[in-house]
Amino acid sequence: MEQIDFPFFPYPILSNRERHQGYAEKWVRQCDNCDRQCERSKTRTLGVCSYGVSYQRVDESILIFGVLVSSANPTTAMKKAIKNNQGHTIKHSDLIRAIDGIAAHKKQSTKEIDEEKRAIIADYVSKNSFKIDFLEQMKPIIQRNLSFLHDYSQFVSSVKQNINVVLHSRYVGGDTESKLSRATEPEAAIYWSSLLMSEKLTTAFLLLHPERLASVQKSIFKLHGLVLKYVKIYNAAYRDKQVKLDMTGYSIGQVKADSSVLSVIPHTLLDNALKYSRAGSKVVVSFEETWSTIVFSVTSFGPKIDNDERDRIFDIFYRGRHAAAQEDGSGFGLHLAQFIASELGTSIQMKQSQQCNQFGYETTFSVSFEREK
Amino acid sequence: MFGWFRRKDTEFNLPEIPFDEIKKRARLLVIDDQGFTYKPLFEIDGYTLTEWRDVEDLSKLENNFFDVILLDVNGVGKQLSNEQGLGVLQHIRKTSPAQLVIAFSNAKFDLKYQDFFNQADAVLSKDIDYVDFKRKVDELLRSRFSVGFYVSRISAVLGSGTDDRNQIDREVRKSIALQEPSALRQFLKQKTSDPKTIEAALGIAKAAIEVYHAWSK
Repeated sequence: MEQIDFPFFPYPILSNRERHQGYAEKWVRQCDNCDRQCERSKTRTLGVCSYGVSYQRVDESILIFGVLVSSANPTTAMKKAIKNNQGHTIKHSDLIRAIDGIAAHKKQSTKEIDEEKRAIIADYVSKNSFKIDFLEQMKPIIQRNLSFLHDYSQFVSSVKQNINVVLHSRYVGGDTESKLSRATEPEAAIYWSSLLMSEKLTTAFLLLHPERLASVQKSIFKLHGLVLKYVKIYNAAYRDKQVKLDMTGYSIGQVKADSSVLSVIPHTLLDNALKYSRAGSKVVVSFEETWSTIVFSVTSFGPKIDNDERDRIFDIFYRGRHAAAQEDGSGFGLHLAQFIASELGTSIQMKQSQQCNQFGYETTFSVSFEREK
Repeated sequence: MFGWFRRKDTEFNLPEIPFDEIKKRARLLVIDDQGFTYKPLFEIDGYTLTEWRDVEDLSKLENNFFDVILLDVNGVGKQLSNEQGLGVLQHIRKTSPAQLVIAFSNAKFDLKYQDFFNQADAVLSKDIDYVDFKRKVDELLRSRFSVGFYVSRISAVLGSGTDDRNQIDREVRKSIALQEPSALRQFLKQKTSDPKTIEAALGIAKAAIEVYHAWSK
């Protein structure tokens, strides 16, 4: 219930179960020890208690009480009360005027509160902090729902370690890539799948431990090398879906970040591109480098992103309406990737062509990183 | 005796130990309640690796018996500490400050294990490829057989700067060559009056002496 203050109300008032004296009239002394019949009254007409004292309810939370209202036909109790409190009788019309005053005051207060609320909300939204707060509020739910991740992580580690043992025991000499080139198709598939699962778990773990994003352990590394690793990890999955994965441009520049955190960006963009690409289409990972920046982009053909949802696709759990119709998804990958980009002082930009070909709309997600000198 | 320590003026040159020799003599320990899948691969590659499901012999963690210890954060050392792996690591740091420890865990993003990760010489995720795992172990083994590692540890204990580092380097080399750290002790007494710091630094120097002379036998 709204709390409204009546510091200058002329008559005694009960507001939110608290009694306040009026500045013109105090409640009559009979009210000090009465059984408060007035407070039990639900009607909004003038009432008189058994002590002959008048009251009138304004609304559910406000009651005027303890006053002596003159009457053409006073009861015995009223006469007695008036006699005992001479000079304190008021007219009913005065009481009505006071009640109208309360209504006006409440209306004004409600309007002011609404305006204040709107201003606070606008400020909150403009600062984008609501997204972080929302994530914070969601944290217990996310943690509850992702608690199985620790078990999954152990299973994935076990699969990955065991396929490593198989590859290294069976194929002597050479590095992992050389061993994979000699491995059977199922062996290679198990290896690459275990890597993919591991990367997906990394993303989920960051949702489970968002505090890790704020306490990153930065190192300097080549972005191209990191992205190349993900291109290799995803190669098999792209091949399976018959989507061509190309890499163009080159970068020798280094960035300063926590590589395991930053890797969520190429991982998410490659994962999304694969998810929404149709067989026969192509995904291009490209690099452009200047003396101060490295721009990394992923271009693919996918579902339309309507103008009104261009910014919203980065909101947590939001899924583009055409994308959602095409594929299942969680709606947290792009949000997390964008959040990480913003922590690194940059942002993921999205551009989409207005024309649609047989594979969908050409869509480019790009992010510009500052080069570490 | 120890022909490979050649004295040139005030310098004590220590030999470069071939990595194959290091590998052959190195003792690795894995403490993990779930076992260690890469054990056969390390053995194929010529390493001597001991596997404990829990802390089996505390004294071997306190006296530099192992060259590198891979320690899991969860499910081990419950009898030693409620903090499990972290408790074991803290015990090792206190009793054997030159011991190399790799934190080995699936919980790489959980900040509650950050103390554990920070106190380790390296952190490896359990989902890492064998080649990357082995690379890190090799890197630490090489550092265990380099004077620079012990000098860095002693500098860290003393909180010293670059100038002291050169002096510490000379004293450590001398201690290794003479198989006793009395010269280093004198230097440490000039730098600090805290007996605990002196003992910790001497403990590191003794580990260096043991490592080099165990190799020379």
